[in-house]
Amino acid sequence: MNPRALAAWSISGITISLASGNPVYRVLVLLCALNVLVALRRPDVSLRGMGIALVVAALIAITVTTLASHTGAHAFLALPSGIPVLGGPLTIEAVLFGASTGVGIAAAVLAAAPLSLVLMPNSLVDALPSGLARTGAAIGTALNLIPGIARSATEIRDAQRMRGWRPRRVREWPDLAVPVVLTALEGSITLAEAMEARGYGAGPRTHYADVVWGRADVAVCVVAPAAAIAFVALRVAGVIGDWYPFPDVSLPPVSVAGVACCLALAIPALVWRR
Amino acid sequence: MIRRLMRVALALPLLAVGAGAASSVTRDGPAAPLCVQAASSHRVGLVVEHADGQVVRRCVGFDTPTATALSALQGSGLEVGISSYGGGLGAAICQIDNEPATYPPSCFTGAGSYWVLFVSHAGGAWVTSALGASSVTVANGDDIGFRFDPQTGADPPPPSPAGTCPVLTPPPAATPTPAVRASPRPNATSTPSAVTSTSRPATPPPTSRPTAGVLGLVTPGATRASAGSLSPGSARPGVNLGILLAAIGAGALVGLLGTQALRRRRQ
Repeated sequence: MNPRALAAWSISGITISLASGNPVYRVLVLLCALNVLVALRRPDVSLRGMGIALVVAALIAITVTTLASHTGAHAFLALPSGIPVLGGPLTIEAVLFGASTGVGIAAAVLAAAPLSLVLMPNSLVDALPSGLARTGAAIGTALNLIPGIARSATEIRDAQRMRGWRPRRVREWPDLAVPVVLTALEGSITLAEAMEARGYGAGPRTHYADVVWGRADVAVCVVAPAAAIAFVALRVAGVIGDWYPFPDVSLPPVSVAGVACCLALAIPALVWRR
Repeated sequence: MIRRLMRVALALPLLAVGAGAASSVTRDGPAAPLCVQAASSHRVGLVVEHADGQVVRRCVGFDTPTATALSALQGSGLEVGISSYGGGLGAAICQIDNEPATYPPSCFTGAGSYWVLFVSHAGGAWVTSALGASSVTVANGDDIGFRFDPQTGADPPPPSPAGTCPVLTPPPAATPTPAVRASPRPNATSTPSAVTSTSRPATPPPTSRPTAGVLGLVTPGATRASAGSLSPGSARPGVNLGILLAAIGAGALVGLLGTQALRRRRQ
């Protein structure tokens, strides 16, 4: 698969999921993105961690909206009004609005996830325009350092504990923080030397293999952005509207054209194979 | 696990359609008028102008020397949706007479219309209120106006409140009456068209309709059905088709998801 075509699909998915507050469209985008991830993710990648994170994010959205928004016709609990911000009736409408927000967050994150869970980092950097190649390489390298620092911190913490380190105050945490920072600096210098030894920055970026555009790549690159553009145009024209459950919960208005735009995002799962 | 997923995929469209059909008959009816103050000694005229130009007039009575614009509005019997900010910040008027049909929890949308509040003291001209409806106080003879207006551009005032509260006829001294009533009440029981009228006459004919808690009222267009209502009568054509297509599409996507998971597992 072509990384640029996948990037175009991701941008289209994010656009549709954020263009409307209608949960029906968001759920469809979420399902399309899940299909792409399950069908095309790298064999060494697990979706479990991201799934848990998205569920937690959705629950936070529901909780915050329910506690902070006290409008709606169907109250199921009332907190004492003396409690600042949180006091007042808790309504089913607020729960549903929070769920819609959570689904929107999950859909947007899942639409962006294939860039890291399907593609290799070097493929993503290769897909960048030549003007952004250095910036992309720097950002990619910096992001790759984060898991290394986390591993280093775990190892150093275990080593300090074996030496009898039992932190009780904040003042004792530098015993862990200082070695972690020094190790990270040492790793960065080693990485910079390795990149320089391989000729990084000596000339324009070269590629291990040429990126080929197949029919499936072209189809994805045309259909997904077209669907996003059509969705935004329908949104501007008023055919696709937002959905608010206040003051009384109602069924979201759904446009056939809007549904078609969302379903078009499933195309990578149909035409690409890993 | 995969087989279970496939079963869910097949059942999802049926469940979605069933849920839509079930929810279409669970809509709550409109709230009853809140204020019963037929013997009120103070009155305030209320003029509400919708976005389509439809004007609703009410005369609201109260016994205290002053009242807030919000309490007068709530006492008019019109449907009102508010969002309370707490902490002495008062409340915002989100919805009057089912306009807008829905609104976000923060009450105001980024670029939509909102209810602009006008006040007329003792028969004077409309003045845009600098305070919210829960902070503005009105007294006997004052008028309050609400106009659903875009956030951009000027805020033209609603129609004149003149005649909203009819002149009271003092009761004869010898025969005490338990309640003060408005004297002109023609056609008090024969205005069925006012219930669903959406016409926009240039000069609204003064037709009266009896409503509990309101002394005298002129309602060329009465309370309208909510556009976002789930009731079968307000369902717009095409909505069900969209939901049906979305349910089928969601079911197909879940089925495809199961197939993909099965294929990856075999690999």
